[in-house]
Amino acid sequence: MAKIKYTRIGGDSGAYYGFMIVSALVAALLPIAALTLYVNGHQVTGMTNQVPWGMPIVMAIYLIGASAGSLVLSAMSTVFGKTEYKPFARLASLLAVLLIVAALMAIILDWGRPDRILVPFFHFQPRSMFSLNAILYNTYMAIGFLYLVALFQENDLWSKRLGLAAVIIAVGVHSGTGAIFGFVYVRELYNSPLLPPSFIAAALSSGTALMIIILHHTFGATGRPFDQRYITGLGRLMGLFILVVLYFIFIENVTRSYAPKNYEAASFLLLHGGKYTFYFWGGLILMGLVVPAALALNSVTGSSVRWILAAAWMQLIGVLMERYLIVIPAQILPLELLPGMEITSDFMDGQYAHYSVSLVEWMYALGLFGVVAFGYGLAIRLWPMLPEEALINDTPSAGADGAAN
Amino acid sequence: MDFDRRGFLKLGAVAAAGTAIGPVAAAVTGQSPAAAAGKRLGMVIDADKCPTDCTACVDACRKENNVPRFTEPELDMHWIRKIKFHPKGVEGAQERSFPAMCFHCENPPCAHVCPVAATFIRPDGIVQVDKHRCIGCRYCIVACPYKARSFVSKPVEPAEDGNPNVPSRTHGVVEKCTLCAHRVDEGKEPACVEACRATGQEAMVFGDLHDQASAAAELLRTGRARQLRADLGCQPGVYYMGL
Amino acid sequence: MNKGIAAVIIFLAVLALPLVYNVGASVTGVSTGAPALTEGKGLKCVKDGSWMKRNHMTLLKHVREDSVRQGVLAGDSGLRGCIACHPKRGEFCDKCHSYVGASPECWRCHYYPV
Repeated sequence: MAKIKYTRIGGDSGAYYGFMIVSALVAALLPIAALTLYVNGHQVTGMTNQVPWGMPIVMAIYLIGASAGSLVLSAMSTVFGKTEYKPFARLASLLAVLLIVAALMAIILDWGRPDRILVPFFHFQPRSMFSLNAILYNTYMAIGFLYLVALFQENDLWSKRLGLAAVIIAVGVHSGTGAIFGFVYVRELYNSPLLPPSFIAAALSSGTALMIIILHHTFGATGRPFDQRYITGLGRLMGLFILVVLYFIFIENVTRSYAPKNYEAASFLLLHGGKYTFYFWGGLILMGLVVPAALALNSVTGSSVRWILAAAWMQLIGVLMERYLIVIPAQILPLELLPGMEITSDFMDGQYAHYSVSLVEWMYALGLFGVVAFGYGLAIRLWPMLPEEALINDTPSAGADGAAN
Repeated sequence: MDFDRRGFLKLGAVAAAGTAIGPVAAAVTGQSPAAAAGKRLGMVIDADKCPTDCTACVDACRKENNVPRFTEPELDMHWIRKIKFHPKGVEGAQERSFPAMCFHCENPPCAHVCPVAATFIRPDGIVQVDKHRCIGCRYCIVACPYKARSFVSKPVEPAEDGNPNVPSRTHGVVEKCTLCAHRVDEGKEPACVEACRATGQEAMVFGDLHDQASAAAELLRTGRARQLRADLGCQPGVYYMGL
Repeated sequence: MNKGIAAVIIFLAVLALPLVYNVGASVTGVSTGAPALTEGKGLKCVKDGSWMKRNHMTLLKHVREDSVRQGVLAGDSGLRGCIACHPKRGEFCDKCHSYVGASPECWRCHYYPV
């Protein structure tokens, strides 16, 4: 395979400046929201004593998932031997680093006391998933960054080693993130041993979707030659990952619904939960999973870049809804202090809680996306991240296109 | 950056040893002590002696501990609250009540999930929140089975007429019933127990559950006291009779 | 190279100025404007004044850890011990803190009348 030439983008077009200005303005929403939160307290959000975790945590786990998905895609060429994806290794690992940095910002700025940021580093608690994750996320970020450096140095040996290390620790990061919720045995909608692995599956599907969108738009905007079979190849991969996610969601809900003690919890999510039920069936299952999988795996739509892009967008939004449905509904359900009894109190015992995303939280979420977008735009301008062209070499002897492995 | 294998192994060994120092040191010095086999402070509460409309314990706790009041019910903070209950699906069932607060569990899920050990178990069994260390991540609120905890979601001005012996709080940290540790350390009872006794109901008995001579242990021996959600295995230190 | 070395020496000299000023003032007895604290009410403090000036934060921190985590009563070493002899924060803690520009957040929660 010919040596890939990476160059910085020109970065002097009106479209580029427009993109950077807009993403900077959007990114500015994050410090505004975070400062409002720090000064005024969480009263400015929709979070309450009943629903202490809201959109910031949803964003954090979403970004972590996208990060690992990107990293695995980057490792496809260095670790898993799929050399046709080599042109995107740098880009994907850049995204992985940007996304985990944004995820860490999402977590820390949501603390009541983010000024105590050093405290977790001095008081490790082995039984706390948050504490374990602090180690995992930071190690993952460091290895991801070193992997990117190795790719830059074109050091194939270290790219392979660090890529493998990054993939292994990405599995740890994702299992850890799923375990934050999966280990909470008090709430039926959290407590599930399937949460860690299903987290990884959704991370892979959303990471692939993100890569499809970013590749298409980056190469399109910079006018660099790009083989559309990459899009359709990644699209098929995304479709397969979605099937795995669907499987996990199916098994989890069926298993949960089987026990009478879980009837109320399971039927809340699947039938009686009002907007949560709508988000689940309409947002997640239909729009986020079934339709994109059908589009990606169908032979007609699966070979059309337009349809794959549409499927990728739907998937991205769908996984955001999935993260939302992991975090919020479990807190809406009342805690059972006295099973078999109706309980009421001034502290809203026995009541279903309410949560709606406040303006500050929307700003927080958008700001995080803006930070990633701005960082991406800056990086591809400052450093040679992008290959000058991404074309698949069809070997005459094989007779098949490079994407169909 | 051209590492040879030996150099990498050396660096890796040093790095691994370095990362181990932190947790080991923390385990030796910084981690909270588990509840000593000696004292186990707790309560036995008799729901039969608790009038449904009485809030003496709640009012006394608020006054003693300067518990902030917020106008929004979903943000309002509770260290202790009255829970009213009646059986599901039974027509015309009589409503009864009992006070609920942090149960100071022996296996507290809150202390297990706290990333900085801001929530920890004192040697005498009281589960405390160190508000100097709390980062406000709210994992403990999510993990608590008994809804015992509140997050301070608004800045709190220390009240002019508040109790000067109990500190106030900043916003952004979590707090809950302290079993009036400041009073217990001086040999007194929690404010709620004292207030309940003052009403004449005497529904709440405080004491060392491990001390066989204590009134609380005596009530436990009647076999009529049980914990809420004992199935979860948290081993709460507050028992209820008449439920 | 000479210019560089000279620049570094000048920089270090400027950096050391406050130290030299303070040491010189304490040696020669010239006042630096640091506030003098009013005498406390009691006979003597937990530790002597110059020790306290340097280490009261460490003392309070240790007392805090023992008190919060072990239930060990602070007694004279805690804040209430300070208040007993130094009843006004404005004439005690705040005097030096505002002079050096330190604003510890103790008073956001702990009662110490100004």
